[in-house]
Amino acid sequence: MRFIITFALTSFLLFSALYGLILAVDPYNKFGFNLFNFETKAVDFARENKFNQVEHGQKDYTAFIMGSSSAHRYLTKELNRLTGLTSYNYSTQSATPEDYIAMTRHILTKYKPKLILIAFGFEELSTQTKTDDMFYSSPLKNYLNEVSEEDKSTGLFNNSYLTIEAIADSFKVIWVNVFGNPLHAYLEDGDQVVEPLAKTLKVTQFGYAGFDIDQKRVAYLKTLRDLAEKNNIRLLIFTSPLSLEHLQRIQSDPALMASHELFKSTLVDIFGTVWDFQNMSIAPYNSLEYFRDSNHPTHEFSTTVLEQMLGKESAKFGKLLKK
Amino acid sequence: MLFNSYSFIFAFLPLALIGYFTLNHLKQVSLAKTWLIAASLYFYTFYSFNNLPILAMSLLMNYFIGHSLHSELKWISKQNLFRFGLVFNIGLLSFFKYSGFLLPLGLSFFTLQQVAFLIDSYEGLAEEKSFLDYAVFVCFFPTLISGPIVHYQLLMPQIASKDNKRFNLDLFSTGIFVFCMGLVKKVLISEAFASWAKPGFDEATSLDLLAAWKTSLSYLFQLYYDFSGYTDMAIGIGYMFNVKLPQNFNSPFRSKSIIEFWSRWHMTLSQFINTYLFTPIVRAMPKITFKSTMFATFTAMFIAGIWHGAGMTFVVYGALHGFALVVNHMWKKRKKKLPPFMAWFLTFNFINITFVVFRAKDLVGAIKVLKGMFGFTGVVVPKVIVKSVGPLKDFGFKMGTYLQPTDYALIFMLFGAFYLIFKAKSSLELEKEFKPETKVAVACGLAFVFCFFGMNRITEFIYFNF
Repeated sequence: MRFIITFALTSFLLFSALYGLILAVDPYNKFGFNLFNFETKAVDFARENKFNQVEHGQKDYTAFIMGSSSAHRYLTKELNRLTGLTSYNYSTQSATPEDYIAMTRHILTKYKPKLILIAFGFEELSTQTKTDDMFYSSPLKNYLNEVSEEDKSTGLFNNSYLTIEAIADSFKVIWVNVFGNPLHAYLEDGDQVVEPLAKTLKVTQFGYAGFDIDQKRVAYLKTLRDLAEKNNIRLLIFTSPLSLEHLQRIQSDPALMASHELFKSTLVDIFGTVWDFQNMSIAPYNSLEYFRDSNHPTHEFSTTVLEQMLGKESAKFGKLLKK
Repeated sequence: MLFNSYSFIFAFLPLALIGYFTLNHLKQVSLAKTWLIAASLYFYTFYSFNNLPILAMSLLMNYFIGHSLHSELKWISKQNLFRFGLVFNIGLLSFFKYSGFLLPLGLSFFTLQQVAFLIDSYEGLAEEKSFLDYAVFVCFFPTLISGPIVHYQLLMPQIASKDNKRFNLDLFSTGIFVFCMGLVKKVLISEAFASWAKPGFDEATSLDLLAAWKTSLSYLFQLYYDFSGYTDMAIGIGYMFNVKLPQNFNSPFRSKSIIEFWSRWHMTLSQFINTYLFTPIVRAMPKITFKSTMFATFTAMFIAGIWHGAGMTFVVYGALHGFALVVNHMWKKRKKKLPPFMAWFLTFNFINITFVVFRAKDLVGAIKVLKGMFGFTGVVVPKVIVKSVGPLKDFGFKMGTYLQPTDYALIFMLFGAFYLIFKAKSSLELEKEFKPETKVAVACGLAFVFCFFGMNRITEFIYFNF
């Protein structure tokens, strides 16, 4: 019995210590903790950073890119080239429709946008995906109009923090802040620093189980659509590219596949037209040149996606879904 | 369901154990077995119900044939019924393996296990009257998907034993220890090597000498730690149910000959091949000579190769190993011995090269890696080793970049893997020597927590594909 008790106790104590360290450092800024008052994190405070850039921007932005971390690598210079507009990348990690409606309202207080692109991830419409805690601790929350107590309450457990990478990144954050030169992750116009290609493609797991469409989010998106229409803004809606491994994973499970189709059809119902990049036409692009991991396209591939949608070049992938 | 998943470790396994031992404690033996079968089927169908009809059909048909072999039959002779059973199993396996349909999970393993049962039944070595017991034998979840391939005579007496129906703290502790060993192999070691093996095989269009060796060695260790990790976890879970499952690996990379390698690698498959393929082929020969046994050896290995799949890579893999075994036997017959290091070096590299063929998507992919390994595509020297390649440029040497952190990690992991092969005790030795001491419990706890943090990604086992 002593063996089992010692095993359980050691596991519990070590887990608590490591998870406690991760929470205290909060390397990906999931909870907004900054116990040690660090100047920078592994992932910077995107919402605050970008909110402030938009708020105090010196340029007259007329095009905006929104989305979660999968939309970080759409370069504004490429969008400028393709549209002739002046663009800003307002994507933030773990974004959901709450972000998009709040961002649109925020933008409209300062600018007269002509084009907004939104990259949707599969999980964003699911009731299983909670609104990011950082949304509520950011100034963007003031643009949502309604924030329920239920939305605010998320636990202290986060999938991204139950990883070896989170342990390593916590130590890295400590190292950089204590011994290094802390830098911000976002450049002018909301662009992200260009990273070297990844060495390996990781297929990340999401809580797809029990996928139900969050009707509140559907309502937010309808409001966004109407707001755009009222202000003569062209909306370009698309599903963010997924790697072949990730798609095959979805397709191997009929229930998951049905959810995936429901996700797409819901977007089509709301917006009428949606560019779909979450289909098998992605196969020729399934390498590390095009994906940093299973759901984060590289800068180069992000540009190809923009070119496909904006009609400057006809790549042989993606599908235009219509009502 | 995967052994290395939160749902398995924290929900499925505890519930399966609690239900099984509680029902046994209440003397509800049949209910306990039913619980175990239900749990196993839940485990099997966790991702998809599609495979269940195949498993059910195979189970029912083999039970019927096995049962009938011990009954008085008027409508068919036992020999013909037995032949029909073999044709049914081989046909089922061949149809799904080679017709291009999606291979049902675990088909290769539960089919071989049942073929062994049929042969043993026909020869009077095994008999099962109870369908419930037979279903436990086939569906027992630790072995259902990827082995080890268990004989009826080994598993069922343990399930039937009265002593084994009580929860055993000592065996449970051993189970935790062995399971943690497997978890470390899979989650911390195999996964790390996988990240270096995959780009070389699946993404690179050509590989220089160092990159090719990095790719092949990474795959060799990925496969070994993946499969032996799975086996350790299965054995660990077996212990938790008071069942001792057979070992599948015994430090195979220490082998100094191919004959020795096959007695240490995927041991339950090797034993199956030996008992149910090699021996019948030899027996079928008109005269047992050295030549006829070599023919049987080659044929058995060739079949073992294509058991993995229909691709040409598996045909070549089986043929190469069959050929190597024949050469090894001929060498042995001459009673000549190589120096131990030379014997190991040749064996290890032969295994490494043949696993390149085994892993590659096709022969072109295998040749791509092999060309690199034999220096046909030049050598890219990292800057950290030399500042300039100088006159070596004429021999195809090129200057590369500085080593990346992942390259240092690979070097560290390769040294670690070779250390584990030669210096560390094998899982088998550690399992035998296990004592439930505090320091061991602490080590298991540490390993478990790091694996816990490493399990947050999709990581199926390689042998799920076979």
